[in-house]
Formats: sequence, C-alpha cells, structure tokens
Amino acid sequence: MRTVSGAQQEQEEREGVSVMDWFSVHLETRAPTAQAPRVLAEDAAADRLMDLLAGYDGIVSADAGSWDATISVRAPTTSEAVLKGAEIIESEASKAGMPRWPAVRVEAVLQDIVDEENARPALPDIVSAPEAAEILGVSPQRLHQIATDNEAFPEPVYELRAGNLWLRAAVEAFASRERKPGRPRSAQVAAG
Amino acid sequence: METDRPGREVPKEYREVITYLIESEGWAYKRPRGGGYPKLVPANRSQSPIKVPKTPSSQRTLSNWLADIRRKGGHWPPERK
Repeated sequence: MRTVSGAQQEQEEREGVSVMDWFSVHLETRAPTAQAPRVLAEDAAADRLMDLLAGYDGIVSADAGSWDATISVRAPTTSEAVLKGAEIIESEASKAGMPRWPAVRVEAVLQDIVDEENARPALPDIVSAPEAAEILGVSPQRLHQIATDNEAFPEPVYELRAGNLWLRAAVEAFASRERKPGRPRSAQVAAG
Repeated sequence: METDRPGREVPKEYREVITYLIESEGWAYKRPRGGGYPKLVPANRSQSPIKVPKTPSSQRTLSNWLADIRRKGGHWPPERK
C-alpha cells in the first residue's frame, strides 16, 4: 500500500502545489560480526519482502550475512525520504520474517538522478595504444616514447600483458593541452 | 557457476539485461524452484543475489533494480560513449 496514492499525486500536480519528490531509498543490513556469514537470510522471507514492497517499487537482495532493499517513496526532502524509506523497509522486513540485522547504510537519491545515472554507460571509455596514438596523431612507437618519457601523459588504468589501456578522456585532455600553441618545444608532442 | 537462462517468467525489459550480464559479465541467473522470485547472482559472489520482479512493473521498479545491479558491480547500459 502506498502512502501517497496516484490520484493524490495527480491532484497535487494539477494544482501545482506538490512539494513532494520521488526518492529511491536503499537500505543495507549486515549480520553482527559474530554471526556473519553463517546466518542466511531465508529465501522465502526475501520473497515475502519482495511481495510486501511491490507497492513501493521494491527490489530485495539477500544472502548469507546481509540483505538489502531499495524502494521508492515520496517526500519533501532527502533527509525525510531516508527516514520514511528506512522505516517502511524495516517494518515490512519484520513482517516478512527477515533477520533483524542492523542497518549499515541508508541512502536516498532523487529518482530523476537515479534515472540519469542509469542511462549513463557504466563502462569507462578506454583506449589501447594504437587508438591513443591516433588521438595524438603520432605513430604507436612515438606513443610508447611519450607514455614513457612525458610525465604529463596519463597513467594507464589497466596494465595488461597485451598492453596498456588509458581512459579516452584523459588521452584527449593530454592531446588538447599539448597542442596549445606557444608551449616550449621540449614539452610538445612532436609527431615521430 | 551454472546458470539458467531467463524466459517468460520475467518481463522482457529485465530479460535483456539479465542475458547481457550472463553472457558478458559472468553473472548467473537462478529460476525459482516453486513460486518464489528468480535471482540474479553477481559475478562478484560476495555480493547478494538480486531478486527479479516476475510481472511487468513500474519504471521506478526497473530503475531501482538497475541501480542495484550497478551497485553490485554490473554494467548497464553496456555501450561505450
């Protein structure tokens, strides 16, 4: 059951008086150190909690020694969303028979921000040496020389046996800095 | 770890994400034995398995689920910019 009905929300929006925003509230619990990870959050209880939180757009994760849940609530401020969301999750978790472990993390994020973050690619845009050389307009051999000798060149984010990988943004930033006119010749990236 | 494949027991928008995570990021999927919810098991096994809604749900439910996947080390959307 929702604390604010869809009809109430629609009326508030029609009248332009809504000061409530949707927040995604995440609460994480962990078993006390003496119990973890021997105690398992019962799978059936986690399923019951999914059912109980369905009206709050809830998602539940559970395993040995920890469980967490994420729901959506409407609240006027982030801090009120934290309190309201944590209260709902803990109350429903108790009804579902989840272990009464202490919350170790509670966070509320505006639902719009969550949507923005979810839409952003999560994998970093990385480049290998040939791509980095292309960005700089130099040969792969010259790239290797620059990466070794020029302290301003970014550190690789991965050093693999097959070669290094850099963040594309870092290489592009280096390239734009080094291409600025008027720099001393020794610091410039000269095509090899 | 053995994995099931997601079928009609989960909505389409969830199935696409689950299939990607199984095939590209080493996650596993467990169909429910009985009437429970399916589970998505992170590649990092120290993270808790995430329950998957069985019926078409709101956009906010999908958002909360995707946020939980990212929190537990999964990447979606997978495309590079």
